[in-house]
Amino acid sequence: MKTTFKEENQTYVMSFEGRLDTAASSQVEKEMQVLYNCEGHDIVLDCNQLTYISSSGLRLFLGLIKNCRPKGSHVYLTGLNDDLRQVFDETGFTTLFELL
Amino acid sequence: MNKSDKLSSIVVLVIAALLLELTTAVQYLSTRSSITSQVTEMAQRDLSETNHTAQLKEEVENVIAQALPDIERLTARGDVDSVNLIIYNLLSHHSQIVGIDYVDVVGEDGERNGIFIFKENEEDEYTKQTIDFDYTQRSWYYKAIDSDGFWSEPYMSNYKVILMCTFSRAVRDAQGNSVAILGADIPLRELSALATQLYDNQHRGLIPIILLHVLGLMLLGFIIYRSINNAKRLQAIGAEKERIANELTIASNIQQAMLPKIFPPFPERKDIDIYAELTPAREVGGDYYDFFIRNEKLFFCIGDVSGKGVPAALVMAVARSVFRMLSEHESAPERILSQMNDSMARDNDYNMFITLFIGVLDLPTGRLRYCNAGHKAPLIDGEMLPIIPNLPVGALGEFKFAVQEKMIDSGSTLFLYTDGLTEAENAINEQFGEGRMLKTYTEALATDPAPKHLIDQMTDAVHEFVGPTTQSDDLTMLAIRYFHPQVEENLKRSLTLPCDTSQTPRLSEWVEEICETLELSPSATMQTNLAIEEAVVNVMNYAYPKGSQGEVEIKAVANDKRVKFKIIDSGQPFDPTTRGEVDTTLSAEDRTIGGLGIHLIRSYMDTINYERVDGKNILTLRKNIKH
Repeated sequence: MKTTFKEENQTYVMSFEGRLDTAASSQVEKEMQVLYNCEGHDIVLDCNQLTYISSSGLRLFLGLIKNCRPKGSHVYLTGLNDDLRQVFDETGFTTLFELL
Repeated sequence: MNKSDKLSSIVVLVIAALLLELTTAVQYLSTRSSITSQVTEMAQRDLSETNHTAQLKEEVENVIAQALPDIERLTARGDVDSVNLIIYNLLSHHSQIVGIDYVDVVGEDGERNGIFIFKENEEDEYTKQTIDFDYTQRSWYYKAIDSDGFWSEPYMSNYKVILMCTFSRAVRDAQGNSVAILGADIPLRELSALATQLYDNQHRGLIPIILLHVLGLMLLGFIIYRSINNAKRLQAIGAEKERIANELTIASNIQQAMLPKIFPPFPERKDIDIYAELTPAREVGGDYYDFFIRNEKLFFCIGDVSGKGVPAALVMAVARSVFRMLSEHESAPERILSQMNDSMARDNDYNMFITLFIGVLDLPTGRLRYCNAGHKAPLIDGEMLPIIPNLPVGALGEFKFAVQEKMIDSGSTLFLYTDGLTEAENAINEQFGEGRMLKTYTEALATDPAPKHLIDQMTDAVHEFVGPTTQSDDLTMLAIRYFHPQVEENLKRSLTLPCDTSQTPRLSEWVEEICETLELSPSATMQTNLAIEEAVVNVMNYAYPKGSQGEVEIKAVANDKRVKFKIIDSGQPFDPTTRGEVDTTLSAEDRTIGGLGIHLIRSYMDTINYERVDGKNILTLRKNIKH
């Protein structure tokens, strides 16, 4: 699992590449900390290269939303493939995020 | 009371009233006549004792004697008018004479002729009346013929309401023969007054009688009024009875709807065949049975509430709901019974209890876990299943129920029943009994092992035994036939991992290889991968206490129809299937972190089944393979 972070015009963009399974989740959790200081910024989670996500990964995403929404930030998801879209639908997570 | 009853009652009452009136009238008339005769008797006695009367008599005799010669002379001449004049004269001069009769003596021809002149009232008015009755029988007539005068006894005048005596003399011709009789009527005024008084009294007596009659009629009226009211009340009671009967019918339908009634209930399944029948003794009853399949386990129960009818039916309805609710989250029969018991023993003012038998049959393996609560032992393989009786549910709170286990052979039939079967009585109070039941069970299964056949045969046997007597208790039967699933496996794999979540890539690799061999689509592969990862990670996180090392084993078998994964660990008992459902509609703020894993497993696997066997947790996940 590889994550890439960049900042563009008051927006944080994090790209995910590979499989976000339980093993990878502890590492990704650390890498996502940088998104938590989101005052004044919106967040885009780029999932174009994401091939797999399990519940541990979903928990990370949920934790992000619980932190940043109250601060006024939008959290966007983009690039979900069909299979992953289905996972988000099944767990009701599609309603939590704004999709691009 | 229907119309004809009412009519006949009224007719009876009217006839009774008429008879009453008739009796009263007859009594009145007879009393009147007896009083009259008594008074007459009294008058006769008094007459002979009164001086005044004697004087009167002498005066009258003289008056008549003086007038007689003239009358005889005029009679011989046939001058009736002059005779009349004399009579008028006599009457006007002698006030004590109130009337004078002048009658012909009756000859051989029998012809009667006579007149009676009398003072009508206190004025000087006289009325001449032709005598129209047979006077020949009167004493004043026949006694006067051959005498010099006769005083009659007091008698009642024909023409007035007075008692009087008549002094009569014969009117003779020149030869001395009697040609007519002249009679002077003298009223016995004192007696007459008495008589009138008596009549007045009698008239006065009339008013109380009338009052009594009015009272009697009022009483009658009251009785009729009450009868009509009673009739209305009976009608209302009839209507009420009908309403209750209707409500009982509806209650019976509702109760029947609570029982699984569609047979066969799981036609697509090859591992189970079930049939059941319940006949309540009254419209509603306290027997019940229930069964359903959850996570590849068959939950079933049969029960008998103490008592019959509506009270038992109410307790039964509660028990059924509680059983269903508890078995949503609980697979251990002893825990289900224990919680049912605590909940029912709590609010049990009437000490109602239920005998119950609960079984949980694991369909893939044939392992039956069962728990009995005071109920009769079921039959299996030609004998009674060994049971620990425990106590009925609701009898004693906090009771610890003991659970039992048995492996069911493929093809065996479990037969459950209530005591309405074994205690069914015939006309001479013999019971059907366990012996006959066991015999019928064995014979029926020998002919045709289907559950429906067994129950039909048992029903026929009971009906034949009982004969035409009414059914005294609810009759309930449930038969379950089990077949061990036979499956050919053409893939068998196994993997053991330490409890370390960093091992998930190894797991993924293993799963994906299996999926590739089975030629699953990329989506199906991803779903399978996800489900297995969630299940295994669950075990890694929760099965073993922190710090200790444990292992988790994953076994996979597959055939044409499905792939089956078994996740096995030796950690503490943990059943992930009983965790509550995740609510995926909540907002971010309200969502909790936990529960997602099990949710994904349920979404992506076709069946999920948990068993605790020999100190191990076994979670079985199955996915159907579509080709």
